[in-house]
Amino acid sequence: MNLLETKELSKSFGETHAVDKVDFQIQEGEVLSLIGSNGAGKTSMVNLISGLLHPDSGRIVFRGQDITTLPVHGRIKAGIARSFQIVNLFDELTLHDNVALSIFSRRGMTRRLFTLADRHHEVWDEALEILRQFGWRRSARSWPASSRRVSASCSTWRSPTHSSRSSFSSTSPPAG
Amino acid sequence: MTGGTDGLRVPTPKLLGVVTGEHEDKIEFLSHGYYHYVLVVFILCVALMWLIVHSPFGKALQAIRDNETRARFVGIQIRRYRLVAFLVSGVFTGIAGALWVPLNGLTTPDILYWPFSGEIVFMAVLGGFRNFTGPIVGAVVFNYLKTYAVGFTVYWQALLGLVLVVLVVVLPTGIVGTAKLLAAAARRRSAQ
Repeated sequence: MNLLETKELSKSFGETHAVDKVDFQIQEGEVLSLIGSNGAGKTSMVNLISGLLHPDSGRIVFRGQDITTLPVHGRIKAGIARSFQIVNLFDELTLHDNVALSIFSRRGMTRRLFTLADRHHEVWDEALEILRQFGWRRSARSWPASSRRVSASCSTWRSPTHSSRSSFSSTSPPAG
Repeated sequence: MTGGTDGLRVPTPKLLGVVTGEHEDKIEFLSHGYYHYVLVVFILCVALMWLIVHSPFGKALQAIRDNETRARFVGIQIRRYRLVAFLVSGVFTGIAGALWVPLNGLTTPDILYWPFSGEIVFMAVLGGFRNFTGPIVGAVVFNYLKTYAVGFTVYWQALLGLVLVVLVVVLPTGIVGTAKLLAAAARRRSAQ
């Protein structure tokens, strides 16, 4: 079974066909790069898969489940994560907070109003472990979040076995 | 039933059935017994609010404030969280309103107009709404400012408006935010 599949996926902005009947499949463990010039529709494609945009037509299937009409949080629950071309973080939260928040969300704990976030040591420890995997050696408690490496760390929150998950980012190749 | 534009007269309240203002002077009661009652409720509310701000839900709200798009991709359902935040805000505002009315002794339709709500926003901006203690400091400073402005000129609202404009331009992070920035700068200088 394909991990992710799009079927005749299309999206137009006025007269511009940003994504035009695109079919592709990704298998589990496969790494796929989407390369193209500025305006080729890479980001639109990633936006369609992650749910930021809704397609005009076509289908998106993830792990056999049709996610075309799922909202963003539904797709994230299904196991899709994305990072952004421009570093996109919670600037006023620390590096540790940024990653921990993703873990709180995955565990469905962000709905808790009457419990101190700091008391959940298992979440902070897991966040620290993820940061270590990305080369953050020092304590990240007080560091401001401001780098792409942090963004990538945050996209890894989905699961300790993230090889079975999909993570997206769209970046244009350098000019020339 | 509602008193129309004259509003509703609010009698001196009984507090928890124990502290009562019935047999003492109203001014005496409001400035002592009722004052301490309000102070206790205020402290309890601040403690509860502090807990909410430092809860995972509070972190999620900060995330939504900082970066809505990113928050969506962390799996936070923005509308639902905003609705809960609105409800929480409504609970605290309702408590504040219920405490304020006996002090005023009268509630009129005038307080439904925007200038009254604007004062609350002014307090938050003045103190710094990105800091937990900001709106508290802002409320204290605002009340002092208002008291002096009212005694200084009949155009006190214009004067306060001017202060607000200057604040937004000069101290965008409010009194507490600016104090923290200055303290951080001083720490950096002393560390060098």
